[in-house]
Amino acid sequence: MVISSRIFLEFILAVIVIAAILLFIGARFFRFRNRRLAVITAFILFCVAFLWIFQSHFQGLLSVMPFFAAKTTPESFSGNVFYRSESGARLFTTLILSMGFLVSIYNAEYLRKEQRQHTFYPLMLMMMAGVIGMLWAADLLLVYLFSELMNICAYSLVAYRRKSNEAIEAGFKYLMMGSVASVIILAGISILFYTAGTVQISQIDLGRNGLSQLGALFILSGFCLKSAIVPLHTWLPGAYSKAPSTISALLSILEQSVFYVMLRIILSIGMPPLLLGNLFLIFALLNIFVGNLMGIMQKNLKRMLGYSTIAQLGYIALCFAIGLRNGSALALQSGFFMIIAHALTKGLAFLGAGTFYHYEGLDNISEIRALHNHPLFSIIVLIVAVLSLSAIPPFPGFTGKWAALTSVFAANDPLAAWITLAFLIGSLIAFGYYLPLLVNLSGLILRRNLQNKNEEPQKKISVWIKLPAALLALSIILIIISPQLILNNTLDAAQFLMELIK
Amino acid sequence: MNQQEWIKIFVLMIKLIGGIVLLTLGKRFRNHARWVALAASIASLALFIAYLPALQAGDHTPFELNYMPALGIKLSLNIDWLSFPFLLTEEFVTIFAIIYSLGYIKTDDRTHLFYGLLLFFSAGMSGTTLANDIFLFYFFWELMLIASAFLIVNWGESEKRSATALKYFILTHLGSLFVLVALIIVYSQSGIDHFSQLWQAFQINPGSLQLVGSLFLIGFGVKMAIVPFHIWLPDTHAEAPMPVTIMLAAAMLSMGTYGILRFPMGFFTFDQFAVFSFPLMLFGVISEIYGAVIALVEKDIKRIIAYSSVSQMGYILFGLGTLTIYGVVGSTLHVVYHAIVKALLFCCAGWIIKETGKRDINDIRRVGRGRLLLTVCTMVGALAMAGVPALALFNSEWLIFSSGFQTPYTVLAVVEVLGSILTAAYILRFVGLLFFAPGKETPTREITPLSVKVATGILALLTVIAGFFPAPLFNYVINEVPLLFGGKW
Repeated sequence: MVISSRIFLEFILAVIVIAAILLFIGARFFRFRNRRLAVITAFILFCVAFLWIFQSHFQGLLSVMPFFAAKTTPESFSGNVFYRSESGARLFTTLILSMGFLVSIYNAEYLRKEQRQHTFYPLMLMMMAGVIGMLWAADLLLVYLFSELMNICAYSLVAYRRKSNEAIEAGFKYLMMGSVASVIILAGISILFYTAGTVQISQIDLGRNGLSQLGALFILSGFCLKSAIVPLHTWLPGAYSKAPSTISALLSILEQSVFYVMLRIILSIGMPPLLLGNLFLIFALLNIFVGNLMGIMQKNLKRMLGYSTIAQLGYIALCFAIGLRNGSALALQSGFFMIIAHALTKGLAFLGAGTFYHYEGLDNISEIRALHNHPLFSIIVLIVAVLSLSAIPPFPGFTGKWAALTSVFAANDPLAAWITLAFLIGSLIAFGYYLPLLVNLSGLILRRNLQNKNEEPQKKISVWIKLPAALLALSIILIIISPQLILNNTLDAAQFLMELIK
Repeated sequence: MNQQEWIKIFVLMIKLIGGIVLLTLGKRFRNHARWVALAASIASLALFIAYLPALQAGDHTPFELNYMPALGIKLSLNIDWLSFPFLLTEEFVTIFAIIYSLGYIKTDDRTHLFYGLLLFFSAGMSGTTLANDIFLFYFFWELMLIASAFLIVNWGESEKRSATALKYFILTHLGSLFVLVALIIVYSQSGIDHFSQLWQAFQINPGSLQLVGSLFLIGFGVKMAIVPFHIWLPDTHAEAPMPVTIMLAAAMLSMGTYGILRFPMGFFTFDQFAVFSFPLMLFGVISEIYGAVIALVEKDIKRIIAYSSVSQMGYILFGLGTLTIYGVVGSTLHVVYHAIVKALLFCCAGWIIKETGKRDINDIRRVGRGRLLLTVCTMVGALAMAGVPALALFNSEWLIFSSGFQTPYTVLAVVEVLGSILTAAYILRFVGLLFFAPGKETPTREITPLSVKVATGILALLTVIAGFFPAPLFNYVINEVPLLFGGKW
């Protein structure tokens, strides 16, 4: 008896949620310190990620358990709650679980000076459960519920440094805008329920019904806000810059999962791919230009990275737009490739930026560039990330763009020349902020070499911070050595979307 | 893998490995970093020379490595007669730049980083000429840019270095992006990314022919600093430390010529490329005259020589535009000779700046007194630049001018020849003001290190030798002709 991915998913969701609750209770009663909490979280996430990645080897495990074994017969549980196999969601789940694991290790040192860690880790776990549930839910209402779970945790995590007014402000702004988005999505879902009589994504068909199309539009715009499509992006830079770095790293995957879920829902309920592709093209151009232009003006490192996330989402949307317009699997593949590459590099960038906050208490680039004794490791980590983000060959950021451009020309898109132009102008503008950052960072290295005779003792970077950053950097080097490995893994996801397009 | 493939890899890898070692471990042996760099660059040249017999025997099998099969990307390295003159130039210039900097760059706590980046810069240029596939070509093309930008940012000579480097990076990167788009269009329409196969199997949609050609020419024109894309060059050359300036002016500018020869001229048929003949010649003449006129009025001696590069690149572009065999061969020879002479002139300028501490040509007087070697070397360089017979640049200029008259655009050829008078004019002003103008002798501030003198002397010797014996190089370079225009020229 083969157990479907769906049952496995329920098992994993259950583990994460139960772990979150137990962790909260445990931390409350046994007064766990930060490091122990972080290690427990990391251990749980490691086990879950391990089970998830190698799930085909563990399926026998579940059939032994009575509760899950009972449900191995399909349809026993009120219709299709979760997708049975959904390659795109699987990819995102793998990403978010692995990033969660790395981030938890990082937190062991990073959150040492903060307070109330016993709320942090359970909230983080719940947020991840929300993302995973949202990705897999086959039912609009469930998508809504899980996305609410995710967002509510995200709001409170963004405002986690509650002593700082700015963090509260950022979290509150995120909450306000997110709630509006939720209401709009809920309205869209109700309209669709009214017209179609069901909330099952696979059973809804927009057809030519004007009301249904309005509902779809509501859902689209709500999710646009949650995934920071310009001009609904204003919550993002603040949230990214004021949240703890580890949360920012998770948020950048989260935002793209929302984007992907939006794409899948809208496509499945029957919006014409060409129309959606054209819409995405507009989103993409807006995001690339606004993100990159605003990035130039930023003085705060993490805020700049936030704007760079907006721009990168634009590139990803552009890939999907090409795929939707031309039905090109290669373009979709390059979109997924960019998602993976961006998740890893942005994660690395935030982990690198976090060291400046943690060790020096600095966030502004003008202050960071004046440092002269910052540990080499974190500077190099940040340089690697920025090189990849600014699409310098052979870093993954470049390989993704190369694949995207190849797919534009291979698909013979009528707008190929203009799309290419947008791509290039966007990346050229982006150099306006990546390059000064690189220059400043290289200056830091040189200054370290000049002044290492002074009395100030060298700061040592904790191994808790080094390990996850090194793992992420290694994964980037792995992609440099063999991008084919990643590209092969995106094939299933691209084919899944191709079926929806047809 | 056979011996030839290993050589191809290691011509490149020795510099890359040297660079990585210097950047990571260089701190331990900071005082010996320069010797590591010198050894790596000499070993690279030695390996390249060891490959010559195979090249003459006609070995054209590239080294290959599967990278991204889904996108058809196979990494590949090759040396053929088209890359030969450029690789030779680049290897020699690197060695001279490193010898020059042995004494010129003071050893301090970051010297190892300087030499590491210098090796990366050099590896970027070698890789550009060695690369046999689109992906690798673009990778090394960018490596060259990034390494040089970092060198300028951190070792620039004035406070404006960050702004200069930013300008340099953004402008030349814009050019690179043009090249990238053209490369991707070529790849997506032909389905092959290996130059060694592509130049015969090249197919292009007639509609995008002119687009691709223009993208390539503009992209490489930025690298060659052709007017009006030259604006990055004078600042960058004036700002960079002297060894980097030597590499920029002598070696990196020629990469643009390599790109034009390799891509549009290598892949298009003669008829397809013929439309670009007139624009190339026209912009060649404009660059030549513009560069010379500005060089005539500039005050900073580094900027004078920098503008003379703009002018010389004009000659090269003109030669390429003639689309005659001797014009193209002459341009390629001009690249090699220009590299020698330009490196020589910058060496002399560095020497003068080091001794007098001044850069304004009006403040330096009678610099030749008591410095016989400097006087002779500068004279040789200046006369060669002015196109005096029996010195290097004369031979190639002769080829370029004479083929200019074989084209329908005789007027341009006449203007080109007349424009070379301006070259002589700014060279005479340069030499005259420095050595012969009346005035009090500028006092010596600092004694020039031996390594600077050695590098300058050898380069002057090479200029004379290259002028007297053009035949060997000519015989090598002419082998590139069958590789142009899809082999159907």
